[in-house]
Amino acid sequence: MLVWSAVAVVGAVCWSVLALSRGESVSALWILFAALSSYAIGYRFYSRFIARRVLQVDDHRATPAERLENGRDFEVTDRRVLFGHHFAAIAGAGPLVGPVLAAQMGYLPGTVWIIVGVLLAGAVQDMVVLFFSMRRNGQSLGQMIRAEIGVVGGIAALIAVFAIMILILAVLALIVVNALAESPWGVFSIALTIPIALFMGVYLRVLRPGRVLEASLIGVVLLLAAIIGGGMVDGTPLGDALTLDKTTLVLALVVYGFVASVLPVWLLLTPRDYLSTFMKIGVIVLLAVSLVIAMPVLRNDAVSSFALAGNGPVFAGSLFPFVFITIACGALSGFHALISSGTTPKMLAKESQVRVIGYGGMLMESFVAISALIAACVLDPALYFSINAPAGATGATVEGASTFVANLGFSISPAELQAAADTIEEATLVSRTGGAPTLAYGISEIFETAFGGGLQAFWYHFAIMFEALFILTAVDAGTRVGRFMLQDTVGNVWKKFGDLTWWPASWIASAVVVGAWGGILYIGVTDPLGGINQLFPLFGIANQLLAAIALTLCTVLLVKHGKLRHAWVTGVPLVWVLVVTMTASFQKVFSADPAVGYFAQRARYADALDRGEVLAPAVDASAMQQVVTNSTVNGVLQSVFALLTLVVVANGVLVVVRAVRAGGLPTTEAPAEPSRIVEPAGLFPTAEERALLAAERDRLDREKAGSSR
Amino acid sequence: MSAVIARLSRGAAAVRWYLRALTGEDRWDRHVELCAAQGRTPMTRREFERHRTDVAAAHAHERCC
Repeated sequence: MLVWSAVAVVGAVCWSVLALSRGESVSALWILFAALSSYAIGYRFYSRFIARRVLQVDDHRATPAERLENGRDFEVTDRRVLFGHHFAAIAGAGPLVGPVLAAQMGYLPGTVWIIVGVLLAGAVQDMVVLFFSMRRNGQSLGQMIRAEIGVVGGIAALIAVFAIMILILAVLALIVVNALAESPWGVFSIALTIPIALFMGVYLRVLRPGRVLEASLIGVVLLLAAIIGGGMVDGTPLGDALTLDKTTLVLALVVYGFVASVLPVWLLLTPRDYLSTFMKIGVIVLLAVSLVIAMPVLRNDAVSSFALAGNGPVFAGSLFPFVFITIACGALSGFHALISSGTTPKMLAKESQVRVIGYGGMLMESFVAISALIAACVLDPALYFSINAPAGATGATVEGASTFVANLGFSISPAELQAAADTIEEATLVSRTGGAPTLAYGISEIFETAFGGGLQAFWYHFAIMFEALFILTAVDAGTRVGRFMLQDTVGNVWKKFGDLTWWPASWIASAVVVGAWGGILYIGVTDPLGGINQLFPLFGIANQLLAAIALTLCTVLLVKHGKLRHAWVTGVPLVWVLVVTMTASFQKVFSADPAVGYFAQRARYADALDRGEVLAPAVDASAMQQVVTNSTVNGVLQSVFALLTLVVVANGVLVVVRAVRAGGLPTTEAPAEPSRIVEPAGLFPTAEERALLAAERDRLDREKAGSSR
Repeated sequence: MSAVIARLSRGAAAVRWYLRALTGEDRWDRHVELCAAQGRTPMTRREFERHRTDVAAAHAHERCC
């Protein structure tokens, strides 16, 4: 109890400093420790309450992994190993990019949302979905919605999941394109990851089957060599050949995405995934350590003027609802519901482990988001806005950027901007939108302060590589998941198409999926208004809408199980995310402000086009036409996502009303069977669990001795 | 001194155990153990790993944003 009181005091002090400091220099460590102490308290008390009182996990009940063990998808897995698997599956580029963009609003709104959001919404969603899927033999989110809410909701959810996934892939790819455009160093090292992964694939299949650690070690060494080698290509003919513009990179990514999705997984996807997982863990640990050593100071305001006025250059819209949209992953991410109802529930050894895997895994992702937020907030705001303002605003020149940020009230000279780009050996940093260059620059500064050695250019490209690597892994894997979904859906009507080994079907399905995200990617890359500021809000809203769908399912299930008294646990986050997403959707569709509303933007440009005028930042009539088309596409997508979600929610409300009247309804939960295995609940076994484990070992030894006699 | 070395080597062994389990490298050992317990002849490592990757290929590979 003494320990927990101490943790609470530390947390309270950190929060007070963050909330009360104004106009003085605030150390980033206050954010770090506010986060860590809040996570500790949330995990210890709230997640235990959810596990014991709300879900009533029962370790005497066998999990699907124990009942249906088949050595393939159903398999009792060590909780620490499963934690690693689950974390590697949920954590991607999302928690790195969202907080960086949200830093436009200041450090406080992002910090509060990431921490409060994860404790009360994000981690709760992951844990509860994991629990319900586990009780249903690992059914997917779509299957559970169809079975527990209804066919209409199920179909709407299926379409929403597919559409949202396409959008997410497009936005992730857009981040990579923006980070690699006109950067021969970046292109060189990222391109080399493909032959490195292929080599590892052949190594593991042919040369030394199964020696994953060996192959990964070789891979990581080659990867570092590729980053160092990249520093030498600039200025050479090879460097010139690798200086690619955005449209060329789009084409390259689309071709790559298609090939990666039809190649055997052992050749490219699996080895790349090993690399990206090791890099992910390595960088996160390195970042946490270097933050403590470097102790950087937050350079931006606690709450910036853009937060209230809603006229920020990175993305338009005011604090409410747009901070909660921009930071999705790290606080609340609907996509995790797909992972929590995927392979993880089929591998749990004990019911009580949903707490450490579901809630704990999400806390870890939230910590990544906090680190990313810090990396963006320790940058000089003038530099931050020069990097993140769209090219239409800065003219993509250092002079233009310097003037532009001066109008925002910040000061940086063209020479200083050029010097910043020179330290990381990039041609320019102006309007390198998408979040990745900002984060990489922030990380390189922190690492340089912590470790020294004049390696900032290396660290920058190391960070770019790290982000690009797992974005590309997500693009490969996402394209394959999309392909499987498409083949499965079409397979209901045309059986042959559902055969995953029939190549015409897999090629066609892959081409459709790649074409869909490639198309949106192209729209984003060529958008005269800047792609990220147009598409990222759409991405964030889509992810949160998926969370609304998942939380609807959780709430419906709590009520159906007769736990109306505790339905607020997922009901309150559901209401919150609905308010946020519906406000945001409404503004994006109906706002009269052309910077916020897609259709207002469309009307503004369409009217000007009719009058024969050209509005900045468009430069000619065809760019004007492009803005009109893009705003229409974005507005329609936005409306469709919101409507699909409302269909699921409405269907859910009907079921809740029926269930409340009846005092509960039958569900598709698998019947209980007694468990025969003993496993600890948390990462570290308690004294009580140790005694149980020892007794179990004795029993097994006796059995063995008995049977061999 | 030797206590420190013993502790370090225990730590290194734990890290190795974790990484092998995380990457699935330890599956082969388990297969061999299981076969020994049941008195069967294990597959060759090559066959086993090939079988394992082919099974994995039929499943969607989940990676989030």
